[in-house]
Amino acid sequence: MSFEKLNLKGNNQAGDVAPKAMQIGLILATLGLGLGVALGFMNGEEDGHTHFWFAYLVAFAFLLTITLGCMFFTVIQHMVNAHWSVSVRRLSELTMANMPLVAICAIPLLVPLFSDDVSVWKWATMEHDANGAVISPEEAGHSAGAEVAEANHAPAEQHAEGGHSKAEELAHAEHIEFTSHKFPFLNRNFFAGRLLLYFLIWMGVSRYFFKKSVEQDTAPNYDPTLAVKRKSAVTIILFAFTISFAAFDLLMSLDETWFSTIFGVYIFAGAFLSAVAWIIIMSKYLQKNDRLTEVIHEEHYHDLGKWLFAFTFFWGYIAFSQFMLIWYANLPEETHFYEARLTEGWSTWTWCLLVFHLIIPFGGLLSRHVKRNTNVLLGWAIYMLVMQFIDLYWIVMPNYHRSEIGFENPFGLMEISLVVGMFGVMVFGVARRSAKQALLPIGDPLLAKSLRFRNI
Amino acid sequence: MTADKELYGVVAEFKDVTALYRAAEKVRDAGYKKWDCHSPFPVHGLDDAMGMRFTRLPWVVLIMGITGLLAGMYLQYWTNAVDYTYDISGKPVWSLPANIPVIFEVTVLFSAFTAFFSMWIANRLPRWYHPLFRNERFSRATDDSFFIALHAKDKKFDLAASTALLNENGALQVEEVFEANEPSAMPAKIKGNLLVVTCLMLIPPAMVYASYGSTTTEPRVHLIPDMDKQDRFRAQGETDLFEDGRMTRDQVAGTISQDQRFIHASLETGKENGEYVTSFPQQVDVTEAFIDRGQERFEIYCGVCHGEDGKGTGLIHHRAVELANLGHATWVPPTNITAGAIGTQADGYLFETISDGRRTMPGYAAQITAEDRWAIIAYLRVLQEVESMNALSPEEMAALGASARGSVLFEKYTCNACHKFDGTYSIGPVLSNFLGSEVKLDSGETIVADEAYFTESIIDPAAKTREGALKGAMAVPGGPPTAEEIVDLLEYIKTQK
Repeated sequence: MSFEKLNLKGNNQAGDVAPKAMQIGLILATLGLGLGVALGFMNGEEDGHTHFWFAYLVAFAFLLTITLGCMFFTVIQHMVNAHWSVSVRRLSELTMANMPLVAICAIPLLVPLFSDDVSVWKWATMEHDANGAVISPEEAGHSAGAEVAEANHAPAEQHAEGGHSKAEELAHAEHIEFTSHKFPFLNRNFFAGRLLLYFLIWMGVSRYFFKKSVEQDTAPNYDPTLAVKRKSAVTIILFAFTISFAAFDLLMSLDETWFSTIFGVYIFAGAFLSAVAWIIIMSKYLQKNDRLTEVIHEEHYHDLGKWLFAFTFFWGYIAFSQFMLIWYANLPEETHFYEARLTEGWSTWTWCLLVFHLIIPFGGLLSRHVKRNTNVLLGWAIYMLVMQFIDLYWIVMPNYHRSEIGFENPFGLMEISLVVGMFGVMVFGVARRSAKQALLPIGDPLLAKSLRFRNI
Repeated sequence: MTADKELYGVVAEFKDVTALYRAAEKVRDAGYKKWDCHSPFPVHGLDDAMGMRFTRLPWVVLIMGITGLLAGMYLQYWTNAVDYTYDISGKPVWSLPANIPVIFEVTVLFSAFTAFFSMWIANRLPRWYHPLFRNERFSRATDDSFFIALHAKDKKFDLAASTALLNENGALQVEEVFEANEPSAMPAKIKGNLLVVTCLMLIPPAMVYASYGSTTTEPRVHLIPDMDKQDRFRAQGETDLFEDGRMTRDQVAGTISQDQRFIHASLETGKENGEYVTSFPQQVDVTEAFIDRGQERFEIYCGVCHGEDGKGTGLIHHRAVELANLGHATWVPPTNITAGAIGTQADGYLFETISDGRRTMPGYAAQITAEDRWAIIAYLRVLQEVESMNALSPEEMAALGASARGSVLFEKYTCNACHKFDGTYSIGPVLSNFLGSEVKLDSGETIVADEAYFTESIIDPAAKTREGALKGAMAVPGGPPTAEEIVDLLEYIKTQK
């Protein structure tokens, strides 16, 4: 087996950019998470800081989806033997290798899961009592954070306690009936166990693919690359199942009666979209700092732009597929997800999502000139990353105070600072990883082809 | 190659893709416009080397894509909301979410067809023949060799100079290519083959047509069995699906069927709390257009009997009277609905009459929608209004002679419907010469039909019935007339000999 000696021009080692980026990440993480936690714990003592935990979940999902998107990006390129992407693949590998840090960020989520004071996953406080009967949310609420509602939502509470109409009682009983069938799956211990399993799989996959890629940098033959290629197809299947079930668990089960089988695909669409956006941002940042200037060129940006465009539309396609089937069938147990999001103040967010997450970027990214203009493309990448956050916020936040009051959109400084903090965590983690090896897979057999790559 | 043939250009062969690329750059720099490169595989970057400007195809595709989007939207808007509105699970007739998939598909269809066929047009396809195909070496352009062809029509083209240019830049061989003098039309052989293939392709559809379009005593061939024989629930059918084995299902508790949706008592029955309504229901809006609609419906459904003027002399009446005169039928003439009793009946009562029929008149609920029945009533009220405006005022009546007044009243109380003087078929007795004649009654008694008998019969038609006459057949709609009016009527009858 012969090596093609590549005369790689430019600076392809992170060098002093790594500590610089680590510093930026650390500052963002400290400030963002610090401010977010402070804001969260200053207010909301009465309901166990439920608002904070919702905001934390949005920020965590943001971090997780980008990391998972990068994992998928890496594995799928191996699976299809793509050569164009080799020059940017290390960037996605670095992000995916940050998975242990993401797992650490998941640990605080055990608080809302196991605490009776917090009601993020409402089924968690609805679990069986010793006899297997179901504790209703109100009872659970009383046993734990009773003062909450009385202090804050006195009128609502009075209504709930005072005059239960027959219809309300019926709906309540139905709700308990619906949910209780899910308790074998949705219970605290199994949920925590699944979460652990997902992260073990993800950390295993990212560690293996990252290790082999770095190994290839200095290996005397192509064995490491051939090894990952052989395992890539199986990994994709594993990925499909884990991201789907993680989406069901972490996000869909926030509304314990609602279900949508396409939900995992929906989250995947956002994950891959934000991952591509993140790779573009990373690559542009490194090039501004005089790294990888000769190896990532217009043609690679063009292809990344194509992905960004394609997944903007794919996201819309999946989002609409989910909406249309539920809208058409008009089943009460499915429609309430959209009813909550299409009535009162949330409808504005829903329409904004349609216009700013689909229609505007679709038009904006359609032209090849946009995709080849790297600065404009960078703008769109940042924009799509913001939209990914808005999308996740839209999925999670209507569940906050779902039953008590119709509409409360608590969007504010806490949400922003937490997501900025999580972004900082990612920047820090990725920068820390980037110091030890080259910023591109220099030993990859397809790198030469990638450097010569042209769209036309 | 003979000199009398027109020169198409020169074609040069190159060793490999690099040589082709380099030569292309030189040809581009020399300023040639009408030329092309040929290689067995796509060469990235060759466009730049040839100095080709970027294709405008995306713009055409974009415009046609938007056209497809609008066309898809309009197609569904027109079919769903305009041409054939149909209630689908209570959603608005034009529901955009339901239309998005088709809009999407039509957009893709338009874009894809545009891209595909615009490529044909841009490449001047389909084309049966190209002069380069006459060059023997050129056949390797799809195999393992690389060519540049310069077109003689290019302004820069000069046989010697162009050949030299190609030779200087690494051409293995430069050859002249001539236009053919053979016709460029499709060869007759291909035409013949196409004709045969087309004929053969027509055989299967012809067989299908013969199989489906003819009668036969043999069992039918089912080409698409699941379309010919579909599983479905039939009224009174049997099924294992339900416990009681019946296909016909009761209405699900708590639901209503689509035709039950809009029951509004007054609109659908003409009654409210058991009373006939005396005004139009609020769901209908009595406008000129509404009355016009009523006229149209009236002339279609009512006019044949009641006459287009409503006076009870429609075409059927004329024909029936003709047949009755020949002794083929009996006939109860349609009522004059423009005057008399009908004018004083409540709207709800008239609605009931139209819906369910009255006496010999059949009901029209199945043929005429509720709104249209109300429209007919609205138009009927117009006819009655016109009639009452034409009617003589009491002063004018007073000014007339007794027998002339009687003539007007004879029509007003629709006596003329049954009683004739002219010898035509008449339901009731012919009244000329009736006065003073002997009448045999039901009771077997024979009396003389004097004025008192007349008066009694008008006021209470059932009091003394003639032998053989149907009890209750005589009615005086809008009656009974006053004593003065009866006198006038008698005067009129006396004049009719």
